[in-house]
Amino acid sequence: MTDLPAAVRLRALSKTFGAKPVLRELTLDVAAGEILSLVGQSGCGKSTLLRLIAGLDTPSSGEIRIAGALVAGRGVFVEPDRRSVGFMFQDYALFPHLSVAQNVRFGLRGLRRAEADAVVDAWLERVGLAGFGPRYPHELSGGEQQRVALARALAPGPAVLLMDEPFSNLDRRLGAQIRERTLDVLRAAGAAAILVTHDPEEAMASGDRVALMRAGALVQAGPPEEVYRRPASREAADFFAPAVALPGRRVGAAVETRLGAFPAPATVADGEAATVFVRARDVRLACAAEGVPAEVLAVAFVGHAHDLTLRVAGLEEPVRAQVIDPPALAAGDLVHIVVNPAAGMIFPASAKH
Amino acid sequence: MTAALKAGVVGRRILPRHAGWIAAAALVAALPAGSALSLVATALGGSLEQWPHLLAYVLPDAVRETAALLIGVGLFVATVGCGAAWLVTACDFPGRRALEWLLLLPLAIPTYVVAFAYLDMLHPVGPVQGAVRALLGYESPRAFRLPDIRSMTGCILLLGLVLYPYVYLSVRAVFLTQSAGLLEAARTLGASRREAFWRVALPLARPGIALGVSLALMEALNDIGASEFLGVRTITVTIYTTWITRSDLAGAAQIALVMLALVSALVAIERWARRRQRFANAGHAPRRWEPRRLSPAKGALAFSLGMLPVLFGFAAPAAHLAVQAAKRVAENGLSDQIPREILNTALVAGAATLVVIALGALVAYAARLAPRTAAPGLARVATLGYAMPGTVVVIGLLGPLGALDGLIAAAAQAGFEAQLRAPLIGAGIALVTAYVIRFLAIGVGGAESGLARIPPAVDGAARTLGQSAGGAFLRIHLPLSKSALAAAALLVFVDCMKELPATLLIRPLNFETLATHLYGEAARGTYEDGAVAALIIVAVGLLPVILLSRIGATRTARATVSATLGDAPRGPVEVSPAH
Repeated sequence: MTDLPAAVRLRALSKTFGAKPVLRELTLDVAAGEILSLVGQSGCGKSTLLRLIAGLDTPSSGEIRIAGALVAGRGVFVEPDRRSVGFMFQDYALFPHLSVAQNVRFGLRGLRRAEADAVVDAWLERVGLAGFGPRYPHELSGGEQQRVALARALAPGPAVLLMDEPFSNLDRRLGAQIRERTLDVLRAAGAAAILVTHDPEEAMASGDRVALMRAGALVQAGPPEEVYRRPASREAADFFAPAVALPGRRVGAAVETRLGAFPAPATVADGEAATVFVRARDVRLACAAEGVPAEVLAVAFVGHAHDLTLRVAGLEEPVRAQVIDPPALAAGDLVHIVVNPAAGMIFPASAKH
Repeated sequence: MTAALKAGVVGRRILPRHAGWIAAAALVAALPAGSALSLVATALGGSLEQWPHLLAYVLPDAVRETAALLIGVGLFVATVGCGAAWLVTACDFPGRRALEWLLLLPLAIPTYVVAFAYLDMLHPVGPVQGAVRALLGYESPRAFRLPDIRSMTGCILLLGLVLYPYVYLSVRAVFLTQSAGLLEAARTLGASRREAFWRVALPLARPGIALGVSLALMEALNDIGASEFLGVRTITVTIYTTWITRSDLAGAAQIALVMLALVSALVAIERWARRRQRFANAGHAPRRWEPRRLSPAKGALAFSLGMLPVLFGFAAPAAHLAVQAAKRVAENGLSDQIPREILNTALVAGAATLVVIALGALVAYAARLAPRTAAPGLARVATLGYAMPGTVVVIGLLGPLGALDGLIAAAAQAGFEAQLRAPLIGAGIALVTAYVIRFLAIGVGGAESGLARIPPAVDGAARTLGQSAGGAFLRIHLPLSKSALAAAALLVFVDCMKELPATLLIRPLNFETLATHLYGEAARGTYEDGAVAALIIVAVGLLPVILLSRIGATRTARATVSATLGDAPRGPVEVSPAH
């Protein structure tokens, strides 16, 4: 992987629509064969980024290289048909007047008919649609259409596959299945890919790396565990899994809160106010001796666990805990809770995002 | 159970729900269905003596001429219509916005008017040939003349020049609603812009092309003036002469049946061409593609190219008519004939419009009230007349109306000793009926598109608040679909005003409308007040064109596409974040 040029290299990429900046000086690399999840709230610019890479929009400034070749920037603009990118659209954009096989063959060039047929068959086989060639898109289920779109985008052998919310039109269970299958196909093909999604779980489950965007800028990029465990901002902490914010203050080597002390990071000075984010899965029930007393406000059974909403004296926000097989509880009961000190995500109270 | 509730269930039904509405819709649907059936009866009931003669000497030529005309006009309108639609949707250049509506203008000129104008203009001693001779230095028409416009080629060109807007409108609508995503997908798969047009945009517009071409060809089939003036003996002309000059109703009906078969074939081809119409863009409104800015030189070229059909299809004939009309009025003043004809035209067109809108609303509302009954099917039957040329409608009506006229006259004779000759035809009732059958589709379509914008929950709300079905219609649906009905009314009025073949065949004796006046002068070869009548027709014909161009392009596009192409209901709308 290291010898190959990055599949995609973005340098200080910006895009404004009218006066409105949509992307601000974004710099990011995607290695050959790497799958990058691009995640963020609606309107953060992630789809625009994909369109810029594909050449469907022109950047306002900055550079884009694909497989080492400059495709946008420094007065260069390479048209989309000359870029070697595959694009999977949110609505798949299958050509309704062409059969499945004709759709997959659309991007194949310079092949003899028999060769093209063989490539098409091989791709349909790979996405599990062998024999679907003569059918038309409207005769397929959503999941099947998605796989045709995948085969069509990958058949010409692009340097990078760009996927814009490719699973969002499928229901949740089917989406997860198809996602796994898609990732298998991608890995087998060794293609680099950028997957745009607004779903943090999907982003973490799919990507070798996850890149979080906010208001047109990159907040953080790294392996899923890292962005989940060590978010770079308050917002990132809350984005990947909802967390309760505990007000606290650094005293010596620890930040002290209503739910106990957490090892202080260097970003918080001694005596400075801090906010500690704690996720529901890191809160557990304890015996009266070691825990902080909390009143149960609500209990919800969510299948694999129970979600508890708790009130702790001295905290405005209710604390959420996710516990497996708790004793029978009802609203109004009194419990004791502890938080794993290593699980706290701590930011200076003055940090904005 | 409380007394109030009991009172509510008192009306135990013997008849199915909404039986009255369905019955009314059936009566309306009986109009076009009846005229088609009576055409068959007249054709089969008449003597078949003439049939071998027709088959040997009349029909082969008529069918050949008609087929040549349809193929020629079809190719011409498809090329010009698609080209114009692509030009204004895919390219951006100075004047594009103006061109978008200018290209609609030829729609205002009926086929017989454009033929009338060009015949006069291109006459050997007319302005164009005179100018050409002067330019080339020829002395007399004998020394040099342009090829005669009175030919098949001339007829194809003239009809094509005023009929291409049908294709332009429907294909532009498709281009405007086509998802940019599909073209972008083509680009990311390595297709250049040109390739994306030929391999994706144009094939996807096939339903629009089929719709536009079939509408244009139905107009061409319906045409009687232009083909007759230009010496093309189409089936329509043959039907007309068989009835008018030989008074052979059965023979005319037999030929009309052949015509009906031809129209059915046209409709079938159109349906076939959009058999996989589910194409429709899934769910969410597609992003429209961005037109590409052309360089100034190319932009000027594109604009001039786009202006050609406007120039020949509208500007030249309209200007000629205006000049001729002005000359005529300056020399002779306005004859008293013209105001009378305007009144006649407005009377019959106005009456037909009122009936069409009322019946159309009734049928469309019945279909909405009782969607799981025969009502929606009846609504489709009610619209059949749009595919029946005026001559066919009239030949179908003449049988039953003639018989009815006879009955009424006999009854009047017996009861009041009154002498009535053909009361239905004589009072213009027959003519209005023919108009209604022919243009009912516009009324039904207009009402349907108006009603479609009202969410079904509104009906429920009105009914639970104590309105009957009829009350809900008057107090809710009618006010809410007012603008759609008004637009439909305008279209119907103008179509009736321009109508020629049916008017010629079934108008009361000595009853002249603007269209028949023009036809009479052109047939006699006199050019007196004809230009004035033609100019009035064109001026009124401009109204719906203005309406068409004023409604936002995309909105019309969506409406036309969904109303005319996509009878299939759209898939559930995807609610997904924009990113």
